[in-house]
Amino acid sequence: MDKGNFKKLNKYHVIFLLHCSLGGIALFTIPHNLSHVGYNMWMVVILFGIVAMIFLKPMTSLGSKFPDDTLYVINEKLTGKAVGKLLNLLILIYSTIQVANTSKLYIRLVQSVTMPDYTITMIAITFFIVMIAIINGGIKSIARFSILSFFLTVWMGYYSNWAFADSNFHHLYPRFEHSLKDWGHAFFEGSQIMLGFALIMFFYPYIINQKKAYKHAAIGIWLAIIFIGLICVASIVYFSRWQLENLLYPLLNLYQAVVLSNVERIETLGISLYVLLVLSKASIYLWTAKKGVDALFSKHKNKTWHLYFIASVALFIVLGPIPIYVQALIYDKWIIIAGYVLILLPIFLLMLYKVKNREKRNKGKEASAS
Amino acid sequence: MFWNWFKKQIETTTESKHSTKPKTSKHRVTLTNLNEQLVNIDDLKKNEIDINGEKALLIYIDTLVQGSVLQDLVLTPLNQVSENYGPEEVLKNSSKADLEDLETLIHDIMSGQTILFFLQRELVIKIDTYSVPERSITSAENETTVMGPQDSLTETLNSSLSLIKRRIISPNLKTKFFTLGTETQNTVAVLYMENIANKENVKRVMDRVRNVEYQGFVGLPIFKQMLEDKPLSPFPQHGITVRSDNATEALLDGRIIIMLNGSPEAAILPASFFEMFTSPEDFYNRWTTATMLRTIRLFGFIISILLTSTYVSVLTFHPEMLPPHLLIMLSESRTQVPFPPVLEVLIIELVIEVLREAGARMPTKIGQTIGIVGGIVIGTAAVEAGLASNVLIVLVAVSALLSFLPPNFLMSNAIRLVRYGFIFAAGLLGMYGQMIFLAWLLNHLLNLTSLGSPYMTPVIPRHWTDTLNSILRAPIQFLVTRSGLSRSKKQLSRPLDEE
Amino acid sequence: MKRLFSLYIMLVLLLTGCINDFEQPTIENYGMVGVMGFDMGEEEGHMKVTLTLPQPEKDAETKVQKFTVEVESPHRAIMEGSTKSEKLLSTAQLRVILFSEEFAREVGVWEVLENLYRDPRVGTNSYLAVVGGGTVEDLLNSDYHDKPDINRYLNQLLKPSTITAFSPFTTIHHFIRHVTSQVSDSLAPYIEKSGDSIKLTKVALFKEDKFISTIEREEAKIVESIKRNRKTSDISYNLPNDGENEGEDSVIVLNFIRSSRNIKTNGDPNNPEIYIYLYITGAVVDYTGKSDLSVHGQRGEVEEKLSNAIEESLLGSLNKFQELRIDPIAIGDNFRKKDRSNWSKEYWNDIFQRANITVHVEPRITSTGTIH
Repeated sequence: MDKGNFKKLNKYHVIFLLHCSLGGIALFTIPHNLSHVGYNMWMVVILFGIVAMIFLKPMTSLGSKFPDDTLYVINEKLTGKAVGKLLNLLILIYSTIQVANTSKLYIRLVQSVTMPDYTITMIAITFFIVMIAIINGGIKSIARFSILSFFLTVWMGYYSNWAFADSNFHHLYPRFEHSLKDWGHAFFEGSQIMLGFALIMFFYPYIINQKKAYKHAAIGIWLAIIFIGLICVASIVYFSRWQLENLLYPLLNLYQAVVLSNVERIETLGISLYVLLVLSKASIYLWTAKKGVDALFSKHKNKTWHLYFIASVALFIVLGPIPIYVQALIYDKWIIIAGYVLILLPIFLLMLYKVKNREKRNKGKEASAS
Repeated sequence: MFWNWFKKQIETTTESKHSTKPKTSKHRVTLTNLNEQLVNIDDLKKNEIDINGEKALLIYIDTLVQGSVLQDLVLTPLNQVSENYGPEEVLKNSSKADLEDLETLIHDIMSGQTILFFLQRELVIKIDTYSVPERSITSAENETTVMGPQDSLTETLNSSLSLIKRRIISPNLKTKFFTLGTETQNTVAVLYMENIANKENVKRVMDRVRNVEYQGFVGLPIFKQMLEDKPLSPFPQHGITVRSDNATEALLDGRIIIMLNGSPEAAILPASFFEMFTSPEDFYNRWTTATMLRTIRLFGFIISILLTSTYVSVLTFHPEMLPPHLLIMLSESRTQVPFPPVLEVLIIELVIEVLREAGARMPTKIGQTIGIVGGIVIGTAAVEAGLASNVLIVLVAVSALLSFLPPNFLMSNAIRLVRYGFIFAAGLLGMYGQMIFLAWLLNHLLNLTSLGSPYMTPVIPRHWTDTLNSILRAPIQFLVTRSGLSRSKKQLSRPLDEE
Repeated sequence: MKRLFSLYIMLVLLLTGCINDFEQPTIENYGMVGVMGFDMGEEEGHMKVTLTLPQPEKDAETKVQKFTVEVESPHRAIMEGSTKSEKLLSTAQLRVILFSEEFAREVGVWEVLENLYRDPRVGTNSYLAVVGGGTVEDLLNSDYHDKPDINRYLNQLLKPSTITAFSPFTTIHHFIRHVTSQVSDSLAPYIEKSGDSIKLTKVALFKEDKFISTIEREEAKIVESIKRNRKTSDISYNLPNDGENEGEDSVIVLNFIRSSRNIKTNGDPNNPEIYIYLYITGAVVDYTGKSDLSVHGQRGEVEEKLSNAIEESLLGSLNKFQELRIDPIAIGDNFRKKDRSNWSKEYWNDIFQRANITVHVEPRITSTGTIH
């Protein structure tokens, strides 16, 4: 339903697409990633929000110059066929690896916490099947799924009460005892939660109210930042420095603080329910990657087999025998650098657009002068 | 591929664009032709009568025409035929038949008209004498309410229509008739309020109804399935009701009603998922009670699909989730059971299904009760024999009870089916399996449409006001707008009482 | 159609995926270890681990299975135990971890706890306690009258409740948080076998991960109420020179309703000063003294005497902490707000030892019950 090239995303869709493209599985690990700056991590999270807001501006203004084109098309239009194709290929690879990264992190988590005696194969395959089913409905289907997954998971936030009840609020006191290098480290390692907002460049052409897209996207970003912030604050007051640095999934331990009379250890439920959010995020990336294949191999025409193809590539990256150190290099370093490049790309494209426009105008003036 | 073939099959049955009605060449009406066509119909009566000295054949179907009617409408008036008044004049409700069109004439005979075939001259007169015993209007047996109007639609289209038309007295209530079914020649009525209903929706319904090709419809539920956007989904995509107040309410909201002669139901298009959990009584109740009941129904749905599968996943994969007293209780009750939890749950669930099915086929409603009681007896015996854990019996019984909560029967059946998906998923991948199946289900529901409108409104609202009449049933004063689902033209302006 | 196709694939996977070498064990195949007790091993570097697990079979002779094994690490104990039991031992339901006083003092509990903390199956809400006056093995192997299931008994005993509110209710998470924090040290409940029951007698003090001393119950109550604002159990104090006869002590029992505390520091590492204010409001249930509590002035006098008694006991325990160079109350957090130097636990312990502590306790009797 609602497939095809027309404007179909209303403001709620935009807000929740942005919300889900941030966060995702990184919520489980974010306090650990930011532990370089210890108890000051909540400031980093706010910094993420501000940085995202700043870099969102060039994206929407680039989009308003090309209201009907995704970034793939804009690339080809502005940088020429050859360079554009190369850029698109890189974006394609980036988003495919992001799909693999997001799903792999989650699948590993599920496997190691809820069913240690199983391999990840079945989990991964079912995950990808459902993801394909979601993407089959197009970007609007993903947006709807994001809305629903938000409302079905948001109530889990209530359980942070237990962590707050048993907490030490002195930890929140800002203390600038860390070197600039530590801050840089934390910012770099944690930026996985922020990079997702760049995806707006790919679904921008489908937004109905493009004039207000910036505002809605910003709401989505801050909504996500609030939740990430909440988790960070809960971890700060609940954990010691050592725990933040050594716990891989602090959110799990936050859930374990919950004491209910009829059920214990709700982190199992938490992780399982989380599949909805992770599916939303991974679907947006996979949808982007699929658009990339469309752009490269079928001149932007929609072909269903592209989706199956790119999904199997991502699944292979998840399940395939890739050495651990290569994985670490790709997932922890390259992918983040690539994400930053993608965020900076619209600024470069905007400049290119200005230069080209000026040339055109000059030519026009010359023509009219002569 | 196989799927493409399957798809094609469905397309041809539902939306075949090319109407391929058999084009028969018209035959002339002669006695021999008639006799040829009407062989082996033993309730066809051919009486030769004498009308003012003229010989004529009276042809009618005995079972469709009551003797007294025949007497009153045909035989008695014919006595008055004289030189001055020919038979056409004395017979009311009569018309001359087209002598070139045998097929129509035969159709008329088969649908209860009486034919006067004059042997001496080329004249055939049709008299509408269709008279069959009808069920009287009674109260609804399926969607019962304590308060409010009690009359329900009947199998006769005319009386059903009258029930609606006596409630909406307006020329804007449009009624369109279609004749469908190559053999049954059913009359289908499409009703809508012209000033409220969305034009596009009306056109879409008309197109779909026109394109339906099938040999015959016994009931509206069959016909309804042919109009659905996604026929393969387990979920009903249109509302269905036997209550006249329900149908009227839907019309006033800008929905379109479809009725079929011979079936006491009315289909409501479009409909949403949440409407399957509402009953007209919600509006007769106070809004607080209604909200509570709706909440119970919806949470009942969620619990019903997740309860037994959670038993499977917790016992198989996540024993750490059990608090100590539950752990002892559950492992104590499981010690004798020879099956793994998945199999145990499946067996007991199937037993319940079987009992239910058996109960439903029993003659009286008491049969159902006996079935459930039987279930409990079997359950107790199974626990005592150590075939199933007693905790499970409780859970299965609760989830079976909860599945009967939705007022919509089709939805209740869909819940029963979906539950098995969850049980399998839980047995395979534990709680993650349940959730991934839930994700799949949600995606499926989100992608369903009812006449082009999203099925999951108001989760994805068209108007924010939709939420006032969803799980929540706001006080009637606040329900000033029509639902976004029906995409009605004009919004209602029901002024708030200002005092 | 595609969705149906994916469902079909799912079904195929489902039917093929069920084939496995081992049957997936279900709840009745697991032996859910409820209590793990650690004693000194006979060999160097070994520990003696006692495991108890509930026996769910209705006609079993005993309600609990117990195993004692001598191993090097906690999970080895689970492995060893599994070979003895007909069940598959699992740590998923581990709720209580006990250390003998000797083990906690000599070996330290860190290694054990770190390994249990690592295991995703072990909940971080498991309670831990120090067993005094004998070995854990002995405590666990004893029979307790009318308490057939020791797992539940210990779990209920160590669970937070108002009656035992003096106990710190230490869980794995709490212990690790305090041990690894930069200011505070951990406490743990101290249990002993007394007759045919187990009794929470004292509170164990830890320095780093090693047990060093204990404090009494009444002191612990006040210490707990300084740790954070909360409800506490009844307290009883002897008020000197308040009895009916000259020179006699009177007894006052307060039914605590609420306590709130305020800690102030001057933040000067060279000349550290700490002020502790504690406000207690409670209702009198027992009073054997001479004053008439319904008279305004006399009630004030009693409150004054009570205040002195509590201050004395609190100061006593604080001085003990200073001597032992530990800070279980986490006063350091307050100090740290004002001190921006490089912080470490040693640094703070040093300051704390030199600190000048002033305590001020303000008890208020809100009600005298239904009589004067």
